[in-house]
Amino acid sequence: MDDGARSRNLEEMLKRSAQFAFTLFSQPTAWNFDWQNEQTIKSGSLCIFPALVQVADENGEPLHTPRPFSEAVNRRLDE
Amino acid sequence: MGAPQATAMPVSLWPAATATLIDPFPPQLTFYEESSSISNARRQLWFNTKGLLPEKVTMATDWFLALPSQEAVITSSKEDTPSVPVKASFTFNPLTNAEGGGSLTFSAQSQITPGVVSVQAKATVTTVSTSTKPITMTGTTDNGSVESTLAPTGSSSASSSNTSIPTLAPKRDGIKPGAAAGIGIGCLLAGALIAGLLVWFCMKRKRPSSGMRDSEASTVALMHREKGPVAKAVTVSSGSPIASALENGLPQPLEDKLISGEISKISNLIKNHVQSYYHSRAVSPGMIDYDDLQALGENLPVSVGTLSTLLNNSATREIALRFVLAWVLTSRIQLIDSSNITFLPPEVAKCVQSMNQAEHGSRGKLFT
Repeated sequence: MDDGARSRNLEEMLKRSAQFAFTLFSQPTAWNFDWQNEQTIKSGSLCIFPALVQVADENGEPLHTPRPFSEAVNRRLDE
Repeated sequence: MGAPQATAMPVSLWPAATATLIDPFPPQLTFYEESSSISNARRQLWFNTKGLLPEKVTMATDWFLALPSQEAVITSSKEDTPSVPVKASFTFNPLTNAEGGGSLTFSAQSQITPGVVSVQAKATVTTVSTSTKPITMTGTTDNGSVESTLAPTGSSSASSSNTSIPTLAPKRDGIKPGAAAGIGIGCLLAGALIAGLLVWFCMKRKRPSSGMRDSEASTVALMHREKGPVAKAVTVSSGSPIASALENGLPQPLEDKLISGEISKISNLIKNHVQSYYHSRAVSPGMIDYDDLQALGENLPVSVGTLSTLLNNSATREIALRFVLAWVLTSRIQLIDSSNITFLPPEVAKCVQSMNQAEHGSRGKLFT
């Protein structure tokens, strides 16, 4: 397997995430990543990508329920 | 002479005119014509002497044609002359025949047999509007005999002649449908034009003031980490710095779907990367280093031990790798803990850290 390709691919991913980091920071709202800790290993599934949730609005007021912007990705561990 | 009677039922009748009569005759006699498209020269008017709604006059013999120079007979009986039926005869004369739906005038003169009154009636028939619904007749056709009248027995002669001006009953509405349609379309176009002008003016007013801000904002928001943020120098003395900062420097909030899309893309990138470049075959136990896993950070959703087991296991390797990458990326999109490991530029990171410490003093999260 070509390690160079993997490396480059990894680098692209990091760059993209870095840009997104700044994008998120530049938004007037506050964010968090929800790893769905209620569904722990004990329940037999693992969250492999967190949900992006908005936790405060443009005025800095915290939201009563965080507003999801993406869905978490879960996978079962016992297939 | 008797009036020509109908030998067949007129099929559909438009009310064409009415003639007002006086006592003892029915107050109003309505004349109908069969078709509005018949040229005036051949116009035919019908009337019935029953004085009932035309739908109810179902005997052909009850319908009379009003023809020029003809007589029609209408009889009435009155209490004054209880046993004396009176006869009124109408003479119909077309006076004018205008082309193209003008008016047809007829006059009816009645001569009452001695003893009652004579009535004159004049009605003008104008072109019936085609919007008037015709009255459809159904009934029997029958060849009856002429209504006969009896001659009066007495001869009290109090005769006075009255002229009454009949009322017209042409049914015509004002606006032609074609004109109405034209006016409607004109109004629609005018409204659309005005709406378009308003939108255009609004756009012109918005664009010049925020045009520059848009391009700057997108550059700033998506800038690469190494460049760092662009610092805007805002003079403190001029008015409210916050207000002018808001106007000049802050980036526009992005649409929701852009943010959702971007995070989903990152998730997919992770999936594709792991599936493309990593295998699930057995690895030597030494390959998985606990220390490296510890270095991922604190407060992982899974413990380091569990994670190392998952990585080792062929069935769960992909899941574990995706998890690791997701954790690394998302934790660095924000701030992890008190360390300085983050994707954010150093100045930003410092700023966020001090804000978080002011609020919580513990976990570094963006503003929470």
